[in-house]
Amino acid sequence: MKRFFRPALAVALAAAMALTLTGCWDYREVEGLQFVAGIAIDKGTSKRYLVTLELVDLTGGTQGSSTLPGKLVAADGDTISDAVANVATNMQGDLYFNDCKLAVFSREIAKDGLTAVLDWLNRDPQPRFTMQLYISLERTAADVLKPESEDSPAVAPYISSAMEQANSMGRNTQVCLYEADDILWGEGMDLSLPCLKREKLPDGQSGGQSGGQSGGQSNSQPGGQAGGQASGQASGQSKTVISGTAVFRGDRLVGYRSEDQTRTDMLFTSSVHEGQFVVEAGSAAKRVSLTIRNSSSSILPAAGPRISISIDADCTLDEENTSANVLLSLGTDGVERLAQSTLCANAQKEIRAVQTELGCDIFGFGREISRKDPELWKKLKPRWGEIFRTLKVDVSARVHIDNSGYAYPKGKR
Amino acid sequence: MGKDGFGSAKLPSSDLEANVRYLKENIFAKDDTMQFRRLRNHSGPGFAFCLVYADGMVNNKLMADDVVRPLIQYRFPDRVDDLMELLETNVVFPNGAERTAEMEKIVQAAVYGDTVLLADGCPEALVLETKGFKVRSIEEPMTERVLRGPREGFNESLLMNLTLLRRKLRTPDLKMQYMTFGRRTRTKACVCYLDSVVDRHALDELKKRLKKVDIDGTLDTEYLADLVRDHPWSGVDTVGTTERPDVVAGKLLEGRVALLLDGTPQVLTVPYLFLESFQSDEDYYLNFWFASIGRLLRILSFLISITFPGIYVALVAFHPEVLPLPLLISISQARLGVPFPTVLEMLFMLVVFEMLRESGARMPGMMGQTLSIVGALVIGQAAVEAKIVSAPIIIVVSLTAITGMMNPKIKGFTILVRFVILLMVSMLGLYGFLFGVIGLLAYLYSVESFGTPFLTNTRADRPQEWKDTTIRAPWQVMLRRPVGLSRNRVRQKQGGEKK
Repeated sequence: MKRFFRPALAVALAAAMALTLTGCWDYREVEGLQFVAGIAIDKGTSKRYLVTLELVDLTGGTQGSSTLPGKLVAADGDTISDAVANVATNMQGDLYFNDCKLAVFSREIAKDGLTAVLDWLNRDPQPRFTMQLYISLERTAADVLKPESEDSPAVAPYISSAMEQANSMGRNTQVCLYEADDILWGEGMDLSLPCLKREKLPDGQSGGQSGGQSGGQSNSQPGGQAGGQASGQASGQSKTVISGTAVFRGDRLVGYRSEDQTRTDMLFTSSVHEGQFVVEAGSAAKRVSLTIRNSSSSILPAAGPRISISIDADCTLDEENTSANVLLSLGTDGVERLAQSTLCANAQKEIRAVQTELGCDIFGFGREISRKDPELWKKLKPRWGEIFRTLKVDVSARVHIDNSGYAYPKGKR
Repeated sequence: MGKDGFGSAKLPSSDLEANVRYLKENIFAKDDTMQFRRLRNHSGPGFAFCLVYADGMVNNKLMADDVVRPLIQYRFPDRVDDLMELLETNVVFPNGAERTAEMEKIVQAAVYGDTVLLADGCPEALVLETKGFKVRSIEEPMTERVLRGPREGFNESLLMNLTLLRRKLRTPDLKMQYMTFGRRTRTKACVCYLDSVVDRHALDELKKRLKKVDIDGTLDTEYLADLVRDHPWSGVDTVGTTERPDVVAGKLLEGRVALLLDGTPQVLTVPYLFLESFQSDEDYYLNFWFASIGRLLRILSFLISITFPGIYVALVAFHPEVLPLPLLISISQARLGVPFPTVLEMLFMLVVFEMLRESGARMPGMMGQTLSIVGALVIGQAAVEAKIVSAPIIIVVSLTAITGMMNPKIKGFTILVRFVILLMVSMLGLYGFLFGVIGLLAYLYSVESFGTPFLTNTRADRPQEWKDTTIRAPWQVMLRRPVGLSRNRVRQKQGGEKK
């Protein structure tokens, strides 16, 4: 017996440690979980916050369909945590935030400062840092989470995947919780968040096809299909679309950028795949559309201070929307030069607009300076708000068209 | 004198009547199948004989022509000095004949189809080889069928099995040493090995352990396997068994030792390494690419089979955040309305599957259809529709079952480990899973089989050792025998065998 004592003791100790110290006792059955797809935070009426959660309704939906409807539940509270707990008390099962796709904030909340409301999302172990953040352009944040009709699929997952698409198409920039944290806690850059709004569905037209104008909702998302089914029932139905960006100074909302402005901003602030831009070849009637397959932009600070941005884009000539043969008459070089000057002019214009109208460094010029020239940044930092408004920005672009879609010039064999 | 053996007892007398009476009334009393055939020859001075044999065990024609007829008709000289000598050399015809007075030998011979010839005036008997009982013909073993390769299988006759082996290895290097096991069954066994390549340590160890065996009966090699293997309480087999002569020959060529036992087609081979569980003789008869893929698949299947139920429970019940949302939602939907926790569901279905498997193995063949209908429809479909178990569980259990059946050699061990891991997971989630896997590895690395570590040749840093383990390399590169078995490692070229 004696020789079994020591191993037995070792096993018992190991087991005791494993059982008591590791916190792995969270056995829970999945059907008891309430999956939160999205969270909307508004100002409350009686208390400070009104938190609305979109839950995935497991019992809803037609038999065998792959998408499930969402249901909205709301409760108010003096803090976010308090409000969430109030939601949970009236609920069967635990709230499950791990797959929460997005958080939407109303404009009032954003104007009062985001830091206060982001704290719970950062601190609680369940919500992930990859959660997308949005600003609602409607009266409340909860409005954008409302479904098109009773049995249409949950809204939040749909917005989330539409955003990914919009991001890769160069229509709008996806901002995750960790990215917002980086900007808010860092220096030299101002936050901008994508906005959501309700868009009326045209009568008798499927919702899926109506998203052409509205920032990246051109594909056949589940939401679009369900919207199509529902659109015949009542007029005045609307669906949620992504629309432009909201601009912050510090953590407070100060202004907006439209869809087109957002699109141009993206060309020189981030790497874009599949993004399109249109070049006018001589006159407005001669339009050439280029698709960016791969682009990179580099922002270089210099003494003065001044900033030079160089954009490098590999493009495919996608469409000549004219009867003339632009490529043949101008040559590839000519189209490239036109594209470069268009890009530069657009960028200059929008940067100017941001500098004068908003005065928020959403492009992160300050951050680039601090990374590439810390000494210079030290001097600029105290007065960066003023300096940014008058900062000289040079934009240069290199556009390379390596594919025209035709083996021979247009119209030739 | 006990019934278990006769020690060194001898025939009691030189008087025929006394000897016959002794055998009839003491040794073979109440045994109606023992025949005592009395013969008389009147030539010379006149002789009386008695043939003692077991009815049905002897070849009757051979008895009549080669034993009875010469004994009756032989014209003995008038003066006979050594009757037994004369009988052995001049009278009876059978190939095998041995003079002995030892009761042990006499009794063994009489009960196992040989004939004991007793003669009046002789204190000795002549044992004649007249075995003539029926044995099963040589067939392809049911459990080890191959698409391509030799189709012979061992049967229940030790001698026949030895000839099958001898035909594969035509070399005097093949040594075959008889042993006897079972105090009552007196079963013959044979230890076979190739003298110049055998793993000496394993051979000596096997012989040493076999000598200690003291059991009343050995009906199958598993009796001996349990008694001689390392880690007798372990769930993992450290001796190999096969019914195929080609497999045994292959293993002997790698330096292993084989133990054949009379009365069973199952042959033991030692040392046995873990990876042998995933090897099939067909690997060597197929293209090596294909064979290697097969081996890797078998190892993968083993891993899936032991871990899949555990991983499922861990992910669903402990760490749902690891699963993508659509999958999580569909599992969650499937579980709506199921009254039992996931772990219980899983245990229930695994046990049901084991029951199906066991009844499939035990029941008479013609009832198979009923079982498959009941299994597939009632247990699978109806149980899900009645919300007793959720559909994903059925998928997990099915995959576990399919992968588990791919490696019949470690079927039992797989089931054991699967349940242990599942239990650990049900308490600690993925953490328990890791505990289980680490424990399993630590245990397997501690196991030895006749002096060779059980997990020999599984080290990732020695690709040379993989050649015939997880993959099957082409023969032109397998120049050496596997590590850890034979000291004589050269298999091809460079002088070949080293004496």
